[in-house]
Amino acid sequence: DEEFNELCFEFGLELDEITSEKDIISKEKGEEKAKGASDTVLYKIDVPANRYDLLCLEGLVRGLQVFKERINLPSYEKIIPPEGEGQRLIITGETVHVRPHAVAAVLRNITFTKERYDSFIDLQEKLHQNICRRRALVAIGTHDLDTISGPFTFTAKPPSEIKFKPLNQSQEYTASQIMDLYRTDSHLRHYLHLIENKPLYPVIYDSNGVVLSMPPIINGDHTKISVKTRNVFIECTGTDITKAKIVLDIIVTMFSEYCEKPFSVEAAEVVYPNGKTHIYPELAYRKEKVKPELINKKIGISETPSSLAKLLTRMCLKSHVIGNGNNIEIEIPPTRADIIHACDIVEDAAIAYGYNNIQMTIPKTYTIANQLPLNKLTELLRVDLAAAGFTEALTFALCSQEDIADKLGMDISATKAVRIANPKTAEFQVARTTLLPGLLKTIAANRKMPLPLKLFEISDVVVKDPNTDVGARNYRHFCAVYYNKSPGFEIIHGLLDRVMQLLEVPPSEENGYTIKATEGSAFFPGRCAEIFAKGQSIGKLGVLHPDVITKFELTMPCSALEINIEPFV
Amino acid sequence: FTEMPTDNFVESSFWNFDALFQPQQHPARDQHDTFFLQDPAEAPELPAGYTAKVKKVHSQGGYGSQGYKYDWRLEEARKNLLRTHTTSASARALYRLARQEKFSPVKYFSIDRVFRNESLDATHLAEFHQVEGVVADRGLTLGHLMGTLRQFFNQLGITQLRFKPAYNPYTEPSMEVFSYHEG
Repeated sequence: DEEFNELCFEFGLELDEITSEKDIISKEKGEEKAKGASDTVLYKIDVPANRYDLLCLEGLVRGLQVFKERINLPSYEKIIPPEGEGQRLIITGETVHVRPHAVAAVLRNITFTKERYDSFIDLQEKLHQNICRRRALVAIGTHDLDTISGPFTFTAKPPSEIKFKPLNQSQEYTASQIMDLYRTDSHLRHYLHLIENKPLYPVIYDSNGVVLSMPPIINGDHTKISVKTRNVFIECTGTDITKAKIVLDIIVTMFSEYCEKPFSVEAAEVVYPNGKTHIYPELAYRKEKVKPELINKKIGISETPSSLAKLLTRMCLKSHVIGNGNNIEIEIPPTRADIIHACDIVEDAAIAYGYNNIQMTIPKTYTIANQLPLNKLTELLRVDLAAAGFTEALTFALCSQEDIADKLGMDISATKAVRIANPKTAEFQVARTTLLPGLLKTIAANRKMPLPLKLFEISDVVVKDPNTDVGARNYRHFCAVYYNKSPGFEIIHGLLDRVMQLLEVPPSEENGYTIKATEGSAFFPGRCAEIFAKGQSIGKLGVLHPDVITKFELTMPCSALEINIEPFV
Repeated sequence: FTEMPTDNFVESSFWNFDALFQPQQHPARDQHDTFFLQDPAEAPELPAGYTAKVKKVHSQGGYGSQGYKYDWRLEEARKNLLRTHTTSASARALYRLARQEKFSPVKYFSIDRVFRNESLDATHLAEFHQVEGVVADRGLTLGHLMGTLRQFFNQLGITQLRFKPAYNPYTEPSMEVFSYHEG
């Protein structure tokens, strides 16, 4: 187990958990139900999102064996049958509005066992969830070729005209009935919306009118494959042709291992509405040339070109040195659709070398560093405010609409708050426009602490602003609250004076700060003042209105101060 | 390391995803991982010339890359969201650096809040802080990156480190850092 863990770590996979079926059932349903379940050790492996070739056991084992140099990377061969003998998939014009693209291929004389069959079905599901984006971009259909006869037609018809027996059902249904049938199915109901409201539904027929499938929902029962199936017809339909090609390539490269002629795939011809034809699968091998110095330089190692070629070959990128040793030619197999730039090749070389074998060095870059002035001011103030006897709080930037409006006696539209479209709970509906609710909620959660409670926070609030390139901006606010048996207005006022003293702003109207009595919806009438400095209003202070205090589930008087500190940077 | 300005929680999909080569069909852009905004829903302004270049690399490739070869849509890039990583601020900083007349090596850092649309549990919050660091210079290697990370963690008192290959749409080679605690 340790060894396998090490191997996974080096290769870039995460061995999530070592368990067994028995353990899983034990944990979920209790030990009683687990009796009789399999004890065979199961490895749960996390595969990176861009490695579609490692999603099935076949691909994973193949990749690891090539990595350990136990086998050579197989060469995948496309066999084009003689004229007239190959399978054809004809796409008609009606599909263009619902699911325009399709590719197809055949696995000839394949031998399935129970494990291989399960793996085959499993890979399709994993690809559906991953690159196919839950069947929206591509849907895969696999059929027993011996139960049908080509040429096949991929077309789109009104739902009432499509009638067939879906997989594992006992009777025929029309397409509209099928939609209703699967509306409650925990697995398939998520895909119904992809075609439900279209006037025409996609459907694939064979030359006798037998329905192969209605993508992306379900295949027909007639063509279902079993462990005994010998010839498989694979079709991938979708809205993204690049991904459809990749998906087809992955399936055929992975499972052609079990064909009579291993790693060979029989090609099929796809005929487009305009008459053009194309042979699939593409199984494109791409050649790239990379200079060994580039690889060495980017990683920080110095390997010879031939050892670099060997490292890359271990990562399923067959390479050899060319042109008197100053270049490496790399053949990128169809299983590695994730290689899209020379830097991907550099990464694979580094993985084969072993990240932890690379010598760690410090860059020789000389730079003169600066702290962002706004943050520097914040840091300095925080220390002095703590010294003044106030405790710092760190609160959430997202809150409910009531927190910044109703509970403070204001209307939400007056706050210019940024609103979230998809909150999971009511606690995250808007981004805060004031720090006050956060501090009041903190006090409410700490009612049992000894009084007085003196809290402050210096952090960002978010407001809509049409002058910025995204339409909103942050302001750095400072907020302090004093919660005790008596409101302590003089304490909050004293804190403001102290902060101004630290900022070297004198208490004068012309060139300093001043406060003027005002009314504020969150404040007690006659106990509220607005603070002016640097030619603008920077905030308010005062005793909080009893309504506000009650709405935040507090019981004692409270005074508060909130100002924008950005003018002082 | 100079501090980067990160004082914008609201970011456009362009800077948060597209400029970082994260494809528009990527699962992280789903409703369940990102907080999209209802108001303001779209970013009014995106850098024109740069946007065209980003569109080209996603849909056709360029600068030595094959690209993703899908139809890149401007409306998708305009969607506003609460940033999911401070890398969007790094992208802006690097863009500013690129527009300087003469290139000068830089080292940037930032520590600020990010937002992910996840259910809360004992180890996950919807808001958390990220530390970000960027070094831009000629002749940098993977070894330099690992060395810098090692120094950073040593300063925090973490000395046993191992690096593991990982996948990130915008970094290649990519790695995750694991540290071991005695006991």
